[in-house]
Amino acid sequence: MGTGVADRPRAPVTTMFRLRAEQDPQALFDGAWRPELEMVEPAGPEVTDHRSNHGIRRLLPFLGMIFGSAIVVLSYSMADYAVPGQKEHFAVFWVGTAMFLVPAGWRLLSHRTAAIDRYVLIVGVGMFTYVPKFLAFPYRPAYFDEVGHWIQVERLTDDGLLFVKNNQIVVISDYPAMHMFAAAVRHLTGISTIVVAIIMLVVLHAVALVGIYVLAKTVTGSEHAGSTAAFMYSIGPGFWFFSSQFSYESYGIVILIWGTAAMAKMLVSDPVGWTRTAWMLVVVFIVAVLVATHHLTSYMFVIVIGAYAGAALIFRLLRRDTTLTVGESFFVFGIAALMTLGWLIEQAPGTQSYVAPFISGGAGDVVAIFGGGAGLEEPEGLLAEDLEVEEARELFAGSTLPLYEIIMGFVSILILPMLALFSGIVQLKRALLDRAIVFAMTLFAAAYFLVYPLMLSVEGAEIARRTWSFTSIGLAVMVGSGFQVLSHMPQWWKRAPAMGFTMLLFMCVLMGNLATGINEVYRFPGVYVYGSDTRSTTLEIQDAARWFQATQGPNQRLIGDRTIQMWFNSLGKGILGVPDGGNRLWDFVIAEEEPDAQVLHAARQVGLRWVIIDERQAEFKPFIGFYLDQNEPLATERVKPLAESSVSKYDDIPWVIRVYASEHISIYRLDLSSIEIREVLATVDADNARRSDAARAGLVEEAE
Amino acid sequence: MRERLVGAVRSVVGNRFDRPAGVIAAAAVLLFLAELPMGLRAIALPAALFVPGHILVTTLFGPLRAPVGLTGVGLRVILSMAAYPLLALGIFIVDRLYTRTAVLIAVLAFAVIAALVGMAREYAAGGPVTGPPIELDRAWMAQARLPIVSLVLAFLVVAVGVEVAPRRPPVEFVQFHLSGRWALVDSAVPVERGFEPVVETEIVNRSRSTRRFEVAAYVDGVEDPSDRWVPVRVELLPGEELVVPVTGPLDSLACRTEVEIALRDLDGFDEHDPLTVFFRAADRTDC
Repeated sequence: MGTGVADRPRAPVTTMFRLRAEQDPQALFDGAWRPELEMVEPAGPEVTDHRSNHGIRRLLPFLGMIFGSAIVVLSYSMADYAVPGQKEHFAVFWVGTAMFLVPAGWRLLSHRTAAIDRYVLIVGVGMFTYVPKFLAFPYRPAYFDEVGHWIQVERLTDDGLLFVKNNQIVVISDYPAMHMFAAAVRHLTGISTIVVAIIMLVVLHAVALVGIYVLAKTVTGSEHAGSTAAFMYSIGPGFWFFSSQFSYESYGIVILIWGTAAMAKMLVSDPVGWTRTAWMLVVVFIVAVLVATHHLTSYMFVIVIGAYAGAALIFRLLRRDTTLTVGESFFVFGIAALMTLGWLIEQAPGTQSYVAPFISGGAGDVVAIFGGGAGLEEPEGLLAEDLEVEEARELFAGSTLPLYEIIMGFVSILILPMLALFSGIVQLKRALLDRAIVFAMTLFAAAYFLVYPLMLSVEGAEIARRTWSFTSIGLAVMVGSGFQVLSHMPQWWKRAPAMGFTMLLFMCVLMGNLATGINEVYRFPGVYVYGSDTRSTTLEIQDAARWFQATQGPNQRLIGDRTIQMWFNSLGKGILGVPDGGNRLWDFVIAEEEPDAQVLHAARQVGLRWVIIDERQAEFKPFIGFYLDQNEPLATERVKPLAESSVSKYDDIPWVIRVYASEHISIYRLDLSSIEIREVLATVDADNARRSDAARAGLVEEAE
Repeated sequence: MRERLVGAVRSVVGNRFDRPAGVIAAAAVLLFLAELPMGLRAIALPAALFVPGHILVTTLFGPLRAPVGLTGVGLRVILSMAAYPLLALGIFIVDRLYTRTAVLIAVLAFAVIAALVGMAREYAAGGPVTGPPIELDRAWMAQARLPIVSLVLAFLVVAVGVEVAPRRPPVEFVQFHLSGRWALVDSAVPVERGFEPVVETEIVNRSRSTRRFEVAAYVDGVEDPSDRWVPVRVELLPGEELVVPVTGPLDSLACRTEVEIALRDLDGFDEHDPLTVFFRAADRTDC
């Protein structure tokens, strides 16, 4: 393996090159060929004069793009009217999606496709993948995080202040790059934030696939490997919905893709030319933006650069790939690491406490699942074995997805390693792994499968899903480099079934990824679902929030359930009273009795003035598992909704003024200065004073 | 004549807007479009998503090495999107608010710096440096027609479809709340004995039908119907908002007298919880 690669005279490398084998398909397919780069003129787009670029074969994906879009629109209209249990809209959705993606994927897999068709299909597939999210919740932020980011942009545009705290998602104020971009576009164009968000996401989806194409083309040297990789990424986890939300991850990950492509470009550029330096400056520029964009994305980018630098070093030491400049790679890696660390320490020290619970929770769950509960603390009243049952995640438990999607969810978990295995074999057979950048990307792809066990735990699944958005870049490049050989099969009767079967696998993967990545309530519109963010948002709540802001002004401290939090923090411009284990502020919403003295004391401490109650809390369990906060009592463990008294408890309290009522929403003003409260709080103050005196006395005694 | 004019312009701004004057011109186009009246200004969007990246690519790579084709376009777009945050951080460092004026000045300053770098590059090269002219091949354009038209049509299908496809109508509701200064009430309202306060409420009909209501107030602890405040009957068209004042006696004023103001739906739809207002005797200083 790899004989002669190091000894071979260095190929003339420029920013435009292709594998020589593209002119000799038979050599590529029968394994006689070894990768060798040759320079091609950076001329205009290539026009491939092949019969597949004429007639119906060329027309199909474009017709599919138009009619598939129309059918997907129809599926969302059907979903909106569907009653619980109806699933026809899923089938219609898949018909529309397949109508475009199957012929488009086929063309992208083919090396005969004309360049312009390839480019437009990459852009078209990218834009198409945003359409479902847009149709589900058109012209409005829908997910919890989206609302937080949306209001952050609104505030930045209105007052021009950077790093303003947001207590709905505490960490986003330290990562304002996306907000700065959106606010700048608002300032320059006068377009509303929500339209800026839609345009941003459409463009990002298209540019993401172009970035994957550029990356894979750079790494493998093949245009159609690039477009295959782009298609593979488009069916990847999270790309259709997670990366379609208006949030810093969606923006950051595309910049990361281009950073990865720029790093690859840097490594294959002429070692003594300015082009290499220019690409290096692009990478540094991207690092600077990413550290201010999103914590996890910036860390992943450091890992990607580290993988490149490590691979370059190893291959240099083994003398297998001498085209790489190890020093430059480590220089960039050092800069990236320093900038990321510097931002974390200086600007965003709170990130650690924000991220740590997810990591430790996920790790603890996995240890418990595989190691018999050793990694978990045992809460009172629960045995370790109960805990294992509680924390081990049953995939698709209670899912409303159709059975075929659930099956694909499991099948895709098996298909993906097979795709990677096939690609790995091709890479080995073609000696592609003798190139450090291919090796680095393959290593990155391997990380995709390392987090599989995390899917078995509740918090771990979240980590796995988040990392897949990044590691699927490596997987896409790997699959692109492997599956490029199919289109080079000389006999059509072998090539057509092979490509058809590959397209079938790709569609299964897409179906499985959507099934494992997102539930029906986040994916389709439909009937009201309490506590679901997307379908619990109603005009009634939004209007209440608008009235609240118009009459009471901004920065009123309030508490309510999660959907209330979303909209009263954003449209209502309120400040959320954040409950925790210490202050039990959630009792204002979920307790069945009126708040006790300790809770009132906590309310006074944080300056809580308002309680907003959605009466449906006594009708439904929250879809997301908790009413206000993941740490509230009985979160995710309730078997029935709150009692009616949790809603009616304010009916006869003399220090609560109901100023607003609609069918389901009541807004209460707390009169904490009232004589009754003063009396209650006086006892708490006296009690606290007694305790603190006792503690002081104890300390004095101890000291003595 | 036309060719001479184009040639003259190209010699100044460069074949790809990549000479120093071209960089300034590209920024000027963006700033000009951004200065159009509100509404028209939206056409600055493509320039906003391309020009900063173009300036950056031209500056970093130089006109001769700047990536072209799909890579070049993609890189310019993503670097445009990434450039604004760094401009914003620059604005923050010089201690200015991130306002529209600040953004415009930052883009201009960025272009000026890029132009200076370009001038230095040309000085070092001993003459103008520009990339090859952009040539639109007729055959290529003919081949591009189908995919681009398809993309536009698909875009229109979604944009129009989302407007015309039937969607579940929003849930109907009626808002009932304290209005005017009464919406700001935060404690028991002091009133003189014998004074009849006028409490302003407001009803907003967010349903699709005409609704009839009765607004009635009840004083806490008063059983005699004659003491009840006079109820007010109203009718609201869909979307209508109406301020409804209610007034009545407060005979038994104490430290805290509760008045509940209820909204009764005369057509038997959902009942609303009553609003509450507390009153206290103005002469009671111990409350």
